Amino acid sequence: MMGAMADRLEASLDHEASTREFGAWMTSEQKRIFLLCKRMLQDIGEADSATQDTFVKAWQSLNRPESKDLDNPASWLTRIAVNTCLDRLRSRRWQFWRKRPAPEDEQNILRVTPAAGPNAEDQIFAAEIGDRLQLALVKLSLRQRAVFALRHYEDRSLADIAGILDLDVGTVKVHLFRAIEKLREELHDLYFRDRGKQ
Amino acid sequence: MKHWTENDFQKWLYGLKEEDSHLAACGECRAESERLRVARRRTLAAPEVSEEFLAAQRRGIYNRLNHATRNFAPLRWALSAAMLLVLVVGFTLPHLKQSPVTLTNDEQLYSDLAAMEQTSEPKAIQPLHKLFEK
Repeated sequence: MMGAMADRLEASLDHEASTREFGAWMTSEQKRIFLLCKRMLQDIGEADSATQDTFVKAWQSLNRPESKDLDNPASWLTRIAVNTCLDRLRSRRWQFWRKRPAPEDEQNILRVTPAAGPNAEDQIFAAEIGDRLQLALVKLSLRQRAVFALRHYEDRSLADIAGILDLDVGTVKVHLFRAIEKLREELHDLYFRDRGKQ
Repeated sequence: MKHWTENDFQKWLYGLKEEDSHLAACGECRAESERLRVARRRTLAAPEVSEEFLAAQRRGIYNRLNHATRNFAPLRWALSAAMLLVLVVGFTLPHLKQSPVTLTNDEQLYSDLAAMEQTSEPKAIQPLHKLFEK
């Protein structure tokens, strides 16, 4: 009787400790995962749900008895987030009645941080082009979007992206090359429009 | 000496082109690559996400985790029971339709009909006859 109670108490303490540990990890990764979902889904409400799904899936996976130690938890979590977003994008094709949130709601949640630029004009210009580039991601196929988002926004190596998306590096290169081709105009404005100014 | 093109620089920025001997030797291209590196860093500034929003999101995640932990086992049992019921009904229904009882009933019906055709009185009167029998 006492043994069973002690076991239960120990299990509940273990559970509490693992929840606290998971909570700390979640807080450190939450913003990155949310922004990745936002960039892939282009919708703040859906990105919120996808971020929640990502962490719930991660928790459930970590709590399975057969779960193994992770070599790279950040990449593993990114993989879950990207797959969650890809699933949502695939199912979204059928949801033509979907409502987009009001732009003012988005502004309340996201504020562009002033970048370390030489002057305010440059910062505004960079923010504008950044927004344009983000909107232009809809021109890309789902895989191209995932590859480009991981490379451009998360600055991940091609090998890392290949690991996250379960592709070989050659395929990642092809997707990235095509994405750059489709975003040529936006990337030109982002990098080359003010050439010679600096 | 052929300078790197815009296309070359874009590929290099995204890891699709390696630095080559020209980039190492050409001051102009080297300067351009540095300018692009700075431009890229500038545009990559992540937006600030409101702390209230993140806190609400975390609360949502914790709620879902608690809900999943608490309700997962009964839900699993309920699902299993429902599936078992569907399987049982699925297996039983076709057997009921083709049961030999139906055949017996049909045979019974045919023999009753044949008997009715041969008697002049309707079968429903038979109990009345029994009332007057000694």
